[in-house]
Amino acid sequence: MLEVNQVRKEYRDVDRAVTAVTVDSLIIQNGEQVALVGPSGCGKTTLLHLISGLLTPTTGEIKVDDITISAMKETWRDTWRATAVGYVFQRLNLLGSLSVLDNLLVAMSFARVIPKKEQRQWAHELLTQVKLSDKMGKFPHELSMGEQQRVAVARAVINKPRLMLADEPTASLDQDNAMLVLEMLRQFATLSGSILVVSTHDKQIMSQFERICFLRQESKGVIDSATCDSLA
Amino acid sequence: MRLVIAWRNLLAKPVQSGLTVLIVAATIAMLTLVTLLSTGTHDGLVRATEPFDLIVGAKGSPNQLVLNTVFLQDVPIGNVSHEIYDKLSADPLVTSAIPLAFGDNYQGYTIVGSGSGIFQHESKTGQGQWLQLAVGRPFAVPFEAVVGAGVAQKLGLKVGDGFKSIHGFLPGGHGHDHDYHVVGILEPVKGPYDQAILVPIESIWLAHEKHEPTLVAEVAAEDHDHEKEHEVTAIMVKPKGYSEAMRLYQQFQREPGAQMIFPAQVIVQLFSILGQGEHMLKMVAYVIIVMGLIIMALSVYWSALSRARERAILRALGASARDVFTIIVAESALLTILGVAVGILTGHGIYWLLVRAMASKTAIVLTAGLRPDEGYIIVGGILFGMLAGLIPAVLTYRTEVAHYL
Repeated sequence: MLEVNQVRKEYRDVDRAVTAVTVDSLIIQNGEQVALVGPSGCGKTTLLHLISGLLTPTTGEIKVDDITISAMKETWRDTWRATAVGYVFQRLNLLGSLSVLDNLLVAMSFARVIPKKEQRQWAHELLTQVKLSDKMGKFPHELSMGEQQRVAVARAVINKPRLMLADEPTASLDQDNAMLVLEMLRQFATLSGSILVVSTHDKQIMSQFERICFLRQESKGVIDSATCDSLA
Repeated sequence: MRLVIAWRNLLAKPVQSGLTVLIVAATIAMLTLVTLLSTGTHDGLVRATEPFDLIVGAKGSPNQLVLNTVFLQDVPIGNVSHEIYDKLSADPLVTSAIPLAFGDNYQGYTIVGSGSGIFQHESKTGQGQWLQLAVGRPFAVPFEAVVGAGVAQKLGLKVGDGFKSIHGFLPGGHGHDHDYHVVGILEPVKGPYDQAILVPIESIWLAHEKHEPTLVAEVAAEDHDHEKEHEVTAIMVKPKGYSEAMRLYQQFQREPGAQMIFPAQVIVQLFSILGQGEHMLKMVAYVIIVMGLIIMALSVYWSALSRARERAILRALGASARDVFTIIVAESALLTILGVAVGILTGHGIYWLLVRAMASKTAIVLTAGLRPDEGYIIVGGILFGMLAGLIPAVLTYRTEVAHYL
């Protein structure tokens, strides 16, 4: 279970504090799939970074399966993130110097969840599932945007994480590819019983989810506060 | 996997990595060259004097006597009488006395008149003969010649060839009538005598009898008498031991027509005189090296800094601080190891070219080969480069990962 309690993230901007996101309470049960929506700049990415442990909240706490992530030491958070979080970034963040296959092997080498002798086999299997079996040796820049997105999805799910986060995963894709990528994410999450949080502003993507979490920007133009509502 | 990532990261930015390697290589090459030149010149000059324990020559500048006799440069001061040579040969303090006569050349290479004893001469007692034949035999009769390895290679001389000598020390002078016949080629001695042509001393006397009977050397007395026909330019003296050398030296202080010198001591004094200039040169070299090291550090630093996003992605994937640290250190190490390897090779390459140029133009053979100082350059260079890479590693770790994603 994911719990976000009284979380507030502030940044220093010269001599004043700017609030990027505020979440009073957000609880997502194991196996639940949620769309995180809200206007641009309302703090969706910041919230996903907080949940993944890439950022720590200024106040409040974040728990995953009763483990308080926000209180962990950074090195422990790194280890936890490697094993428990699969993240599809908005900018994909594939390692351009590595091949498609190596991008997956790197993620596995840090997590050490899959036994080493099975890693290559599992990566092959997964790439076949996302229809990239013939692109394993290619570098990210040699792939189309849709293919890169599928590599990012494969990398996010390779360690069978408890928590899958996707930040606007369909933003740069056409409708067909967007639905394909979303379907893959949902399928993997369903199979592994993981929590899936997808941030989006695409109404068609939103409509695929039973639960939508809405991040509201209170003062238009300046991100100083946001709240989260759960809509069944 | 970490090493693979480090290697692939470098390959992914070939221009940047290549430039960094180039800068590191240039710095290390400069460092290597300065070290090799400094020690090589010193060792080369000192080593050239090793076969010459003591030299007897005409009164005048000891430096000129060493330059002429040991390095085959400059003109002789003058001649010494044959009696001095006879007296030294019979001296109980002396193991061997070898006469040397200069005055002619062949295509710019000095012809050295000597006795056959020069082929038995040992640089250091028990370490074998100084001049060893690669081909042929030692000279036996006048106008036979044994050619130094360098001369044989440059002029393509081989046993059986003939040549005519030229009077003086530069090519283009008037020629002597006698033909010399090559009977032997020397093994390389890695010293000035690789550029020498050895002939029986009688050849010099005979050759000069016809044209200028009084001249054995370029600078000679004007009076013509029979005794001067058998003068020698210098005498290589091998004393029986150190105390004998000192006694001989004391004895020779009273000799009116000649001086005795320790060539090694002259070289040391020469280094001492040149010390100030060498010190200034070293200071300039150190400034250049420090600048080079700073540029090298900056290059590795920027190279490491430019990979901040890749490292942030690795952190986002769950790489531990140790993983990231290993990757950065491996990247910097690979860059600096490559740069150091290329730099050492380049430094040696340039030094080798200088050695060849010096050997052919000045007969001074700089010593070559790896030196202990280079170990410090290699280890220091790699550590310095890796250290430069660590700074951005620490900075990156302190920066929020999300900033780069």
